[in-house]
Amino acid sequence: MTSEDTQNFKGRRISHFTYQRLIYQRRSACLILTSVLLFLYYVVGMPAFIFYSRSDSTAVEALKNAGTLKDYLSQRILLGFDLGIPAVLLICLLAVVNGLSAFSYLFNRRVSIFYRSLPISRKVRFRERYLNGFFSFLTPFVVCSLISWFIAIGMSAITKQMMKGVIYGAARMVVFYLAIYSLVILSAMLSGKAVFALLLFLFFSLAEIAANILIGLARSAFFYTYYARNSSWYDQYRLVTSPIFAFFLGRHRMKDLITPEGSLISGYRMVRVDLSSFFWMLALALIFTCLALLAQHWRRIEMAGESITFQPIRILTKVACGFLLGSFLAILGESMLWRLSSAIANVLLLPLAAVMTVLMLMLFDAITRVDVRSAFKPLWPVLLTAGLSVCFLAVFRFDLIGYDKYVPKASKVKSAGIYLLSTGDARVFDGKSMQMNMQLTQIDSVEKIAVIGQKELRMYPDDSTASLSSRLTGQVLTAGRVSDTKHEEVGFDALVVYEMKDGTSIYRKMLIPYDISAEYMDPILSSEAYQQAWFRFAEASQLPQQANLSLTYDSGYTSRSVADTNGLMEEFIHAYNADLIQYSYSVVKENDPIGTVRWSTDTSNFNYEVYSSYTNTIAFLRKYSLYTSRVPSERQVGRLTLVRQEKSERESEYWEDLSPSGQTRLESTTDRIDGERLGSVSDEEGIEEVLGSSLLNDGVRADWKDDISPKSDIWVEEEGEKICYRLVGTLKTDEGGNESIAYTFHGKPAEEILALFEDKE
Amino acid sequence: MIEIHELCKNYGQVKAIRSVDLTIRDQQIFGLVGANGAGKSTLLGLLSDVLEPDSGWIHIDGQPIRDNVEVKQELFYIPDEAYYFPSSTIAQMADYLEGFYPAFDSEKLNHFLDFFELDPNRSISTYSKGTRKQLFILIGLSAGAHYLVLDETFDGLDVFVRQGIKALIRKEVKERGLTAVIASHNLSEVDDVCSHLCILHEGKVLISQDGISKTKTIQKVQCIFKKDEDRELVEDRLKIRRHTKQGSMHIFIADGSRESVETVFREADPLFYEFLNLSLEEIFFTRTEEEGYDIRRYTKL
Repeated sequence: MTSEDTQNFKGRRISHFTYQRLIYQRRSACLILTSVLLFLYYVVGMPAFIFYSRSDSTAVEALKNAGTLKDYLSQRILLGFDLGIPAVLLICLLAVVNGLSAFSYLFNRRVSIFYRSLPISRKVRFRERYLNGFFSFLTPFVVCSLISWFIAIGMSAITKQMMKGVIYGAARMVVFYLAIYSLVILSAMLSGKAVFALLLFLFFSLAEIAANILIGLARSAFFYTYYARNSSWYDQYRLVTSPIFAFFLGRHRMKDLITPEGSLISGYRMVRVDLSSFFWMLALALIFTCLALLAQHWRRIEMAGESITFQPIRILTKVACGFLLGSFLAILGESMLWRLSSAIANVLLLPLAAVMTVLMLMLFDAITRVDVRSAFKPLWPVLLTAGLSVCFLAVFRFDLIGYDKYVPKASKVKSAGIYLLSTGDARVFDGKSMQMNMQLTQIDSVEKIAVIGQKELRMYPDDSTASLSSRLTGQVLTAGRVSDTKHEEVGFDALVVYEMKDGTSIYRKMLIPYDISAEYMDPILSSEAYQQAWFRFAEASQLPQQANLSLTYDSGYTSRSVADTNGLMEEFIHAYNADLIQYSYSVVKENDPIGTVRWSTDTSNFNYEVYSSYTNTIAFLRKYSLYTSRVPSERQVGRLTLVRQEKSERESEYWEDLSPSGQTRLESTTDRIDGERLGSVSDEEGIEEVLGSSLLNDGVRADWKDDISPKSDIWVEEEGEKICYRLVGTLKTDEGGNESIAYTFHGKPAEEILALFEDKE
Repeated sequence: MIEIHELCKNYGQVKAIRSVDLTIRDQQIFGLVGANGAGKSTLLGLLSDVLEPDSGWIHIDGQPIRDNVEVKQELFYIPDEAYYFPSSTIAQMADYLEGFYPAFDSEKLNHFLDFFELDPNRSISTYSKGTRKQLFILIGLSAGAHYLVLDETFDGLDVFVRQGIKALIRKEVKERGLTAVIASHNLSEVDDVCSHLCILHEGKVLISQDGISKTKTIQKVQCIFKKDEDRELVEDRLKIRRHTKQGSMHIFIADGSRESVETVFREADPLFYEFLNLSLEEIFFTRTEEEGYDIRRYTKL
């Protein structure tokens, strides 16, 4: 070729399609792998999923009976096309494989020299490789999706209404891939070895989540009033940099966007609820790509083979890893030390933080530079990281931010709620979490109670959850405060929730003392907002058809039920609401409930305490022959035995043996009762006299009443000991058998009552 | 023309290239020699826009080379260990490179391959190291670029192929104005083919001139003195770079023009004296010793 010929070619650049062809020739293996995996998932997997959903006989039979089979399948299939965790993992795998392979030349100096020497600009090289890795996924994804949709349509699994949701789900997957893929490429640009690129990718994906978990762990470990909500992690955390989080948040919200018929709702609500997640992932993809371009501009060939290419990134990741891991290990170490000695744990926490952080920094350099000593070169990141860790833990350990004392400004609070944490009743607890929809507006009253309750909790922290697993699951631990008085002897475990005007929520645990003045509590408990939220009624229409709803009245020593509850729920609600007007803290404190109305389904119990003044409810119960008096007639009782219980270590073991949420009655078999039996009464006159005295019915529960744990007002001082008098007995049933009954005396029984039991066995 | 101006490149604390100024004219066969670590590969890497300088610039035909596609299409770089795609054949590599070099002449390449009896459809990995080098030189010569940059090119080539490659390079220079930049340790080979030589030492240019082996500033003389005083006179009057003695024969390498050196020897009136041609190696050793590179410590091993 002559120089004249070459002149004709001068400036002619490689075309996009030619370059792509050349790249595909070298990366065909990735394309094949991506295509095969997507084919298996979509073309093979989705029809199998549809088939399985339809043939899952248990679910199908149950739903068919409920008339919701079609809706169930529609929703399930729609969510299936949006893809679950297996597909997310697949997408991440493909993004990593395509991203690292498209830019694998960065990890080998010889290869880098080859590509750098070619007459192509860096920008174009980046762009073409980026597009190649993206289209290596997009093309087979589109093809396989279309095939699977056609198959699903052929199987009548996708209707016209569902198509919008299916297409939207596919779009979300593409954007998710783009975000992960861009992050992988950024990681590759910042690293000189493939394995470190992968580690950097994991770091960028998980660091923010790890930081959130660490903060949650520190809160639960050191803040007495911290309450770990049992909400899903995407409701607890607000992560900004994680495309994985963005995806799951959108998927979680997708469920709200699907109608019962399986179609995707449209309009403003969809835009507001989910498109924010969609565009967030897109924005993250754009940001990561721009950063990768910037890194490429500064990157040099001699960086190939290094673990982390840029010193500032190296220091950033080193500090972050050292801080996160060091702080976490310090909390872990402190919790182990705490079990030995809380004083030692307190003293050693901060030094432990510094030591653990330095060790983690050394480990970091051992991995990235294969040189532990280089951890201290330069020294300032080591000092910075150790300092950060120490300060971080000091803030939590000594509550330097006043978390436990915090009460928000009343002017910023929209509404509040006070919840007893001891209840597992389905009125407020749906099995997964507490229904927190109370909207109290007497914020001043709430905050007065909160100030008292939070202070009390700081004085008498909950020491029942000391295990490491409890820490990790977020339950509050004491962190070293030792008290002679036990937590449960002081007050009610409660939670205050503030719904702020800015849309956020603030949660604080508290310990409302048993002797709190009714002046504080009455305005709350007597309010409509409290009662509406706390005495939530299970609407029969809202329960699933298989609920088998039953109604029972439990007077403590016996119970009566009604099987046919058709129409009774509305009547009960009307009656109970009429009686609730008189409900207040003072009423609860001064009166004992006479029984419990219980609405039960297969899985839940809704309990409503009944007081002697609840005339409407009692009338309802009488109408349906449910009502029985709190104290049985003397003719029914066969025998009563008085037990004098002494409060001692042995007794506290006895109480701990009983499940707080379950068994509340003392068994009548005397060999199970500890304490001293003082005597028995079996004649009707004596029994009548005893039953007429001041008794608590252990079988009837009530909120804001002391639970099974020893009550402050039933214990009396006798010769320096705490004594409780209990009554157990047998009851003749209508069928001719015997049942057990149990009562506790309010304090020491009257002398004439005690005299009835003397020397009588 | 390639112009290099105050070029510097560091690897951390190591100064690989220190303020290098060079000009490579068109149709030159420019030889770059130097000891290990002198900076030859770094300089070629900078020249090919594979490495980025810390300061200074490189212009090719008046254009900066940094990320300049048009300029880079005129330059083909063959590193010491050239990269090839795993399991690829010569034809596949050529096909790939043809996409980037629009003036690539595949017919010429086939002609070269045919001449050297190399199969274009054979996997490159099955060839020996030396043959692979040869392949990339042939590909480079076929790329149609005006500048060919070769790092340690002749190492590993057998004597016949070496001569053939040299002939090809000369032919390309003559016929289409190729400019070749060749870095090598093999001083005699470089001396043989290059029209211009540059000695690089510790990142700096020691000498850069045409026909360096015909340098006029250093003279080599062998002589036999009548008496020691004659020898002392020569040593006093000339700057002696190297003095070796074999029996009564003295060999001096001294600075100065031929006339000035000859004047001194006439004055000393030895029994016999004769001017000899300096080899490139002698020039290289002399110059590097001047810079503190002690060759003797290697010869004592």
